[in-house]
Amino acid sequence: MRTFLPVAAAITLTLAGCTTGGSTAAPGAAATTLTVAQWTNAGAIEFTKQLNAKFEKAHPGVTVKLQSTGTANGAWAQLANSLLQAKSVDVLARFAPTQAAFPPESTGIQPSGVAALITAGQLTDLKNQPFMKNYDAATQAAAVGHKGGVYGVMAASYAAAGAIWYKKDLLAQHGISVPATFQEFLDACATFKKAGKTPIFLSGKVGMQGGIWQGIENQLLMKGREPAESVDVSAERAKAFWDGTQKWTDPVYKEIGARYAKVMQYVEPAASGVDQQTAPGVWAVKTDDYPFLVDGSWDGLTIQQANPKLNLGFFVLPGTDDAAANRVAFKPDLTWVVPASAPHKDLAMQWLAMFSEPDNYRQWLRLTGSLSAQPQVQNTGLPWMDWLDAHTAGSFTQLTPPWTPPGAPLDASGPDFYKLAPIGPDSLETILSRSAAAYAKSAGH
Amino acid sequence: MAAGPFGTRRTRRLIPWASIAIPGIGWLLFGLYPSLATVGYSFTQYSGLPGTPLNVCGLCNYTAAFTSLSAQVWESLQVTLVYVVGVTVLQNVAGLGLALLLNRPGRSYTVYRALIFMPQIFSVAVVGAVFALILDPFTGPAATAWKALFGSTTAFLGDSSLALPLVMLVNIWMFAGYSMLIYIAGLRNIPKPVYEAAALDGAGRWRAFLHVTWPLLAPATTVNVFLTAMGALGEYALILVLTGGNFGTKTLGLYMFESAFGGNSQLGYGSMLAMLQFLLTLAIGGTLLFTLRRREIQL
Repeated sequence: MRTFLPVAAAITLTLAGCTTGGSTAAPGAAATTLTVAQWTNAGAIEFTKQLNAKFEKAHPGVTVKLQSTGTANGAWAQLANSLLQAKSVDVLARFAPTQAAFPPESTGIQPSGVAALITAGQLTDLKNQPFMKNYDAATQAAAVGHKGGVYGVMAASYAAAGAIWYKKDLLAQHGISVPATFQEFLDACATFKKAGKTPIFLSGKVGMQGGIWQGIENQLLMKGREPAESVDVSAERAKAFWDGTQKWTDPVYKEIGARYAKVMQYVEPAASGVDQQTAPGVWAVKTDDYPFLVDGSWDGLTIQQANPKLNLGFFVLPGTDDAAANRVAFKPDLTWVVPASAPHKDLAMQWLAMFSEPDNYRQWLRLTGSLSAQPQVQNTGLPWMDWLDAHTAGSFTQLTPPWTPPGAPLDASGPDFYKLAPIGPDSLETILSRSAAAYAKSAGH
Repeated sequence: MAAGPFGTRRTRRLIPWASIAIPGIGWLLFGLYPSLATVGYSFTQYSGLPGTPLNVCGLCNYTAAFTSLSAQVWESLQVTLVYVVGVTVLQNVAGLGLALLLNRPGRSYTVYRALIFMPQIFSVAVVGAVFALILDPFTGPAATAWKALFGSTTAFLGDSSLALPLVMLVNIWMFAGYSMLIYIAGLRNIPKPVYEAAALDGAGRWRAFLHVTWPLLAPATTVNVFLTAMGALGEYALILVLTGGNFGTKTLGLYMFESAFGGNSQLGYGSMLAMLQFLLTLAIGGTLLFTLRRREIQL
């Protein structure tokens, strides 16, 4: 019963042509096909195609097939699950589960997604693979480790919480430098508004406004803590929420909300109707307005492709008035995993080994704009990365939300940014009270 | 024993059974089995991922739906009911209006009917993507029209007060042609002498519609209302593409899809929602059929 439905789904998806890409070997040339699957990200796909060609050259008789689809509308989740059900994928991209995906058994919450695969022994432990030496062990363990094993290679991490792209020329024209404190950021927005500009653009349709909240939240909650403590801070918060000693109506969340509201007054009023697929392009070509774009650092290539002439910059929203506390929170992102059912496990390891070679990994960083996960490989030095390179030292892993049971309302794991004013109709007080009630109910308080 | 064009008498006897067996096996495999599996999954905390444990938990998902997670279920139920009622009423009004307008002879009317029916054959994903572009507040033509009319901007699908009506309108645009065809078939079944008799009695166009057309369209109305309501109850793909279920558009169907197949899916919980949706469909469908059939008999 367990396998039939997903297999049927796999067949349906395959017939529906959900997969794209892939190279085909000349007739009779290839005896083995290694299947690599990843979601669509322009730079990442370009790199994988390059690496696949290199791998095929180094392994005569092997063809690497790339399967890909976008993350929108759950398409990627469907493709990844179908490939797993069909036991046909060798190297699969997943989002890093992080330690938040493994709630203690006492909560009764069953792991889902990648965490469910790990606990069920469906992913290969890569901890002792030689290529893992290229990566920082602690970071990998935090991203995709469980009970001493490491079940993937976290290859990409991005600045997501409070990540802001900016137009260097526009800031220069108005004599504004990259803000280092919250007040400086507000002042910059006020200056632009006075000059008739709309300071901030974002895709509210997919909830990018949440990045503003998360940016402030991460910096406030991590203030005075060491970067390495971020996993503990997340775990402590999760436990406190579960125990009922912390809630969404606590003063710290009211403060975050107040700051969020101050930033949101400068956001384009119709931003909630903007799709993420169009936001970077719309923003990039409008060179005389919208100095700031709230969007993760993964969209660098997309922005540059939309307007190659744009003098692009990037920084992270300073969420506090203490410049030292305004550190970068990076989000573990694309993680390569090798399913236990992979038909060509040895080849998959060789592919990952080739991926992890410093020269190849450097090219990966160049095309994706990811922060480096290999200590010996520096960030790429892309022009827009100047600020990021100078501020990576105190960076920490982005905090994770409290544990919530499956199907829990969106409110339970934090404010619903689609309903919170000015994007939505509800006040901060209503939103926080609703979140607190939803969490308490979900956790059975 | 002489063999005819369909084999011997014995083999001929097998043909009907074989004819039933082939689709029957298909139905068992792709109809009944997944349905029963859904019932089974609804009593588990199964993630839906291969090799992960079933975690049978009895009524845990049902209990959660009516206790800890009731707010989400209730909200999606409310959205679903508004969606179903709105789409059913408006689509039938539009379908009937179009049928009355286009139930005329002539090639041009055939072309109009075909054009209005055409969206029905498009993929929901394509329609959703096209309307998402049309309704983009910066690049879409709707934004230009809105600004010309009202002198302001709006977020369209990102506006909580507009999103649900807009999704409903797209749904109606897509399927009104189907309703129109059923109503046209109904109109063509009404005998002309009835209209002639009504005219002799002095009935004008409105009274003829009210006392002749509308009552005699009862069978077509039954089919249309039932099919539209059932279609709207199960709708999730269009909403997913247009709004992702945000801005007050998350129906029970979409909530179920997200729970069962989303990023951190829990097929068990999603299956329970599918069962709730099944019961809701049964209740609404049954009530509609009973009421509409009784209306037909009374008329």
